Amino acid sequence: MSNAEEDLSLVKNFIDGDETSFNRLVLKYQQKIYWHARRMTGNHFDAEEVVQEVLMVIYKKLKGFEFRSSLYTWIYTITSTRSINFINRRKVKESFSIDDESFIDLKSDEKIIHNIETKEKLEKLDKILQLLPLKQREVFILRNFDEMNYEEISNITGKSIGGLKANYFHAFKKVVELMKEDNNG
Amino acid sequence: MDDRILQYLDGQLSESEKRDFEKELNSSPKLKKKYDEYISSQSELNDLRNIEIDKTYFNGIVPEFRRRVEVKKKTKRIFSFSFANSLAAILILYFVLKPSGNDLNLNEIAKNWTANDFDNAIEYVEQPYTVSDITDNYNTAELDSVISGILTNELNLSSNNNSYLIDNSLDYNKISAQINNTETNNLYNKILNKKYF
Repeated sequence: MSNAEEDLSLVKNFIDGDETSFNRLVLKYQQKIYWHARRMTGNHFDAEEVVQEVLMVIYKKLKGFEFRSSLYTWIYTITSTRSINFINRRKVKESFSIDDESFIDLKSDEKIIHNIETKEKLEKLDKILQLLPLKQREVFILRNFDEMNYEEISNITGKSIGGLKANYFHAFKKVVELMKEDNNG
Repeated sequence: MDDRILQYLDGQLSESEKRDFEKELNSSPKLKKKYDEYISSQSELNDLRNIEIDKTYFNGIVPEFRRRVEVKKKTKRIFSFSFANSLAAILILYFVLKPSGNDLNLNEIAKNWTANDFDNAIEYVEQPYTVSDITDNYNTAELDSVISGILTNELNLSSNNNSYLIDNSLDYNKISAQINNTETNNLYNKILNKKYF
């Protein structure tokens, strides 16, 4: 059974009332959702929250999903939108001084990544990605980490392929500069 | 220079452009140095594509989701409905009775909110539930009764005043035409200072 056929079957079973099919869909896509959210938000604590929000949206909207795009693209669209919404909400909260950085459990990585070297590398990447403007960050993550082609990214973001390439190149240049600075400093 | 390197790494060059680029790479130390920087960063990024993280976290995602679904089912409808009314009341009264020259001051409105109020407000504005999600679950009589109950609680009224709470014949434009600016300001300030939820 192909990937798309498997998705179709799980969605149909879920619509027919089989809740375990939803669980199987989550198991299939949860890592992709987590890592996209993690790279967008820059920490495990926020990514964890976005993952749950994304699942809630999928759960509520899946019954109306008509397979006009692939389920994979649809899930990424939701994940990306929810991540951006979350980041914007975080900015608003910060501007109202309701939360401060101490609210984020910066040690939460220790619970999920046991290798110290990997943890440090990931923290460095989180830091660098957070320095990219949101739209550039989104394109960079979709292209570089989620390994999507520009057409898929265009379907997710609604942006033109030319604009996406420009964003990706800007982001890549900046990442290389920041990595160089970090390695030298 | 950077753009050509990026186009090359991103597979955007044609066959002949690729050949030209590779030729130049072999003859230009400056280009080669820059190219190596990109390759080194790319390699670091590639290492971070497949990070192994504790399986316990991923194993816990579905149970945590199911727990949240249960909690939402129990609480969401009533809260959304109550909050919808509060927010609608604030917005309707603000726009109808808005004191001239004053803009909506979000800082003023939000200053007494707790972090939880704030989360709820944002969540409501993002609208995971539509009005029809709420109204579809009640018939007209039940809906009136729920609204009256919420308003009675909020306004601390005795239950026999319920019949005055919902009056669909009210025309807010007529009300605003009959009150002066001072009264409008007083009402506006009362609305701002009232804790609705």
